[in-house]
Amino acid sequence: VKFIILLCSLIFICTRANAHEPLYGFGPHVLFKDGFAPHVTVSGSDEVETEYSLGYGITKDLTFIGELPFQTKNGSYNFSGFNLKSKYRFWINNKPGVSYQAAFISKLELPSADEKPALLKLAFTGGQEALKFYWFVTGGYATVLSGKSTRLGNKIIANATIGYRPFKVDYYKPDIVFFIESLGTFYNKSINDDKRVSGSGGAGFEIAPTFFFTYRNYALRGGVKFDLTRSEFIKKNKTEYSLTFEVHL
Amino acid sequence: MKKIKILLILSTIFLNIIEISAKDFPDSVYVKADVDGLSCPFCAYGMEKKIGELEGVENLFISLDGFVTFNTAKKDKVGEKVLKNLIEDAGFTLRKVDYSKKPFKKIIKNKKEKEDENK
Repeated sequence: VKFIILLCSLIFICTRANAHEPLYGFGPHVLFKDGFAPHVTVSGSDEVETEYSLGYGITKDLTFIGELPFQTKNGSYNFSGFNLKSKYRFWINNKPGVSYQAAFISKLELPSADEKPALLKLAFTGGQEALKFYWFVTGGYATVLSGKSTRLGNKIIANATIGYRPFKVDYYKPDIVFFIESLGTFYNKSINDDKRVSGSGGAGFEIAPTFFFTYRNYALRGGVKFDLTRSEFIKKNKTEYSLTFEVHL
Repeated sequence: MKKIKILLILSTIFLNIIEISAKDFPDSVYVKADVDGLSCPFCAYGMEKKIGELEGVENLFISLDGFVTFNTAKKDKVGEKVLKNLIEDAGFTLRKVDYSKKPFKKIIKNKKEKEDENK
């Protein structure tokens, strides 16, 4: 059971930021057509994970992102898998100084290590970007694609983010927005030989104050994620910091 | 005396060059596009890039008050349909486009000054 709980905690792979997404959650913003967005993320608690990503705007509404995470474990630097994400913005409503958008996101996570299963995340996300206030809400489902005798339970993801820009914005000056992200994950019970494992499943809620600092096409965002509460058999996550540097080209 | 004449001619040429460069672009068309959805500098960069790809675009200026201005000598390259597509490719919506023989930045500045005076 402890092994399953440990695996359940390992399964949590935070969703990396790109474009105008929240740092830990999702957002509907896509890259401009033919735009490139390389970014590097450093995150972790005890162990440090560095992730190199490249996004490309295929059309004005469709962006593909490839992610290469590396983990520093016991002093060694290890390649830890490949993630492929696509985002399709299916609705947009622009008004003076504000943009409402909604998008469908799919993310395939293919870890190199055996202890982490392959995951497919599917989510709907939407929200508002405005001169003063931001908000995003996301609902999604993560399906475990691999596993040996014991298969971890699928997850339901529910995130909400609010953001506030304290200063007047000017295109030619630096800009900063502060966010509060709330992240909820509901874990189904694990499956062992087609039977549900009784000592598994549960829910977890986290909160993350983050910032988003930009200057023209350069962005630096960072934040800390705190575990608020865990129910049933879900192991509490350690506090995790994250810092991302991104460029739009 | 000859040297003075040469100096006078050179200084006249020099002053004329300064005058020409200080003038607005006489053959240019000035464009002001009102854009919806502009809410942050990081995303507005996409619009700078897309419009900047147009041939002959100069003095591109983006305001998060909701407009973009520039001038170009290639008048035939900046039709409303072209601008609409470029702005949409960057994730925004073109509300209105105006063309003028005078720079819009000056018009906007003068308008603001008049408003301040009235206050």
